[in-house]
Amino acid sequence: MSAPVKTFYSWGRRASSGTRSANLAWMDDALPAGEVPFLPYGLGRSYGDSCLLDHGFLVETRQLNRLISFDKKTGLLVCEAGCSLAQLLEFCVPRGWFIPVTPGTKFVTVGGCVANDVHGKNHHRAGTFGCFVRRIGLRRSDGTVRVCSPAENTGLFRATIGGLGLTGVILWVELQLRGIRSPLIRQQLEPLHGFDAFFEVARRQEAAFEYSVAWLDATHRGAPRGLFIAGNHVEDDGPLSAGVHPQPRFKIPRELPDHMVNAWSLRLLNTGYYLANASRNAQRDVPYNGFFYPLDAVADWNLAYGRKGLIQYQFVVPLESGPEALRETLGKVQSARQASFLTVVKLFGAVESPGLLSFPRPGATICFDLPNLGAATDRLLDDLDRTVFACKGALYPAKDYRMSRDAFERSYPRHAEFKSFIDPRCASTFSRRTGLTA
Amino acid sequence: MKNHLILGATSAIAQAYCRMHAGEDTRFWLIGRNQSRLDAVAADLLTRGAASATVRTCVNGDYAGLEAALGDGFRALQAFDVFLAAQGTLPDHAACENDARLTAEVMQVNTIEVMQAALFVAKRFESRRAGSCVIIGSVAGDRGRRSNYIYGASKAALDTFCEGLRQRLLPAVQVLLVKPGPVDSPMTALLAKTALFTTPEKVAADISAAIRRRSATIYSPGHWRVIMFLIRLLPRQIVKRLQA
Repeated sequence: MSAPVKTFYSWGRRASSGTRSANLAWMDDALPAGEVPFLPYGLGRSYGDSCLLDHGFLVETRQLNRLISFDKKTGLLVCEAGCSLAQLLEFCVPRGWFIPVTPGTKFVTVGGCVANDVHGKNHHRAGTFGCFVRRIGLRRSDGTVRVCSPAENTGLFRATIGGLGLTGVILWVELQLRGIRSPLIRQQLEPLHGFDAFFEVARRQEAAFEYSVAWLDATHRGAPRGLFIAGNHVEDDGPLSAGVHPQPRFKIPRELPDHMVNAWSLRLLNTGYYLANASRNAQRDVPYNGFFYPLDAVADWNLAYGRKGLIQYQFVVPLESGPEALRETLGKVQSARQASFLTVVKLFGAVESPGLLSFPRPGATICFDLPNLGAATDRLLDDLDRTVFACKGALYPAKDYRMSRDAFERSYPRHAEFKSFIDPRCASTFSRRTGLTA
Repeated sequence: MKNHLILGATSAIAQAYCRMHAGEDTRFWLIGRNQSRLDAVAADLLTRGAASATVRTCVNGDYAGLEAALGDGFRALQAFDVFLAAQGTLPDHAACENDARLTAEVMQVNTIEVMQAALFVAKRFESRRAGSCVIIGSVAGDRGRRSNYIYGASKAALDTFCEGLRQRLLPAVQVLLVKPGPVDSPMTALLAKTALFTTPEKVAADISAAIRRRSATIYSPGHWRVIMFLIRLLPRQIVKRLQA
């Protein structure tokens, strides 16, 4: 039996075509034979097409999810690359440890976190996920397994962190966890008014909070309003396991009709979210799950956007350009009569990632998510690109389905150095478009 | 201390079941075919806090080897609370139809060795008057289907086997037959995933609950009991004409 052609989706509901599946449940499972290119595929949470490969094999790693070792004194964990953060949290939180850098969903694999060098609300202090990776076991198509670390196969190590799965299949990862004394986060909310507030408040508060992000009501006319959301791990000793690993409470059963998520419903959502939280200025202790992963409460929430899916557009610009870039891009989104729910602003810190293609860099990152309206959305994004590149900014591959080779090379000046580490069998729809691979 | 004896310890359902219990005060005796994979499973369980996880390999059709692997377990850990037979293979059906040796291998792995191990364990559970003997069957064993009746037959045999063994061992010893629907696991990697697929974790949770309740037969997820009840009601004259 050979693998049938199967449709894979990314989180933004981009579909693969002519793709076959290869399963890698064990480290010694064979990679697809022959010359056809392949790409590792974890839980498919990249938004665009960086996790897809047309007319090739996607090597599925979600069953490669065993723990290998854990040092409970130092918090050094070795696990297989298909482990999800959800699985790791179930293991490490009751033992008093936490994922050092976590993105906005826990349904991603550790291998995916490395390959996209993901960031979280603590970037200003901690840097990226890759900053906590001590070693990587990397399977290459030539049959070797290379152990990569800052001391060994250093080039390959730096290429694999943020390497979009193009340097081979990550088999296992050694990760430094962060110690915690409680599963709770002491959360602080503060309403924000006006463009400058998003940057000033963040700068002023950064020192006091390990985690912070600013959410913006993109449907509000006039001076923008939003919320500064920040938190620290609670330092009091408390029970570590009580009710902290909830499964999704709701599920979108199938793709909803197109246009359910539209300017009107988004306005309602934004206003509702703002009003519900703006008055809660007080500080309170919340379970980590709701603080880091609010959207995980609704399984398959991306299906609410309908058949055409959603688009995330995330960029980073130097800090001094932040307010200007936010003003311009928000203006463009609003005048195109498009709306966004997950509009967030975050200041990246100066902690440098080892990754050659790492997206985070000192400055301000801004993210919009938009229902896909086809050509109108494409025009808007082209327009946003002009602002981003005028500010010497960069786009984020994990959320991209459209950046040109030129845009990629401007965003990632070390692309040429990276290319020499690409596994000759690996490719993705993204890498083909941006000229990383043939 | 709770002791688990697992046949086919690298199966996705067995791994999920073991993980679920590894945090407790438990010891595992893991039997399978592939040393490095068994080692990976054992390392996972030890990392999760299992008191011990010992690995034994044996090859296809080596009855003496299988009995030695089981016997070593009883000698080392004295007694087991749970025996889980999760060993199984889903063959290329068309190839089996054309090669009797492949069909024999399916019966060997899915049926004969499982029965042999269960009989070996039954004797010890019987004399101790305690234990749970858990065998993984399949919804495919409930009715013959054009596309997988050889696999189905290998699992159907376990149904009859469990029924008799249960009569022999009750009330002191539980004999639990688990009939999962299709599970998202390496065994089904080549099949197109439909909404009918469940996860190894769900099946493992259902097994754990059924052991606590001392059930005789469970379907996992439970709605398969209703589906298979209706399918079994279909008259033979109709089933004969089905091509699915």
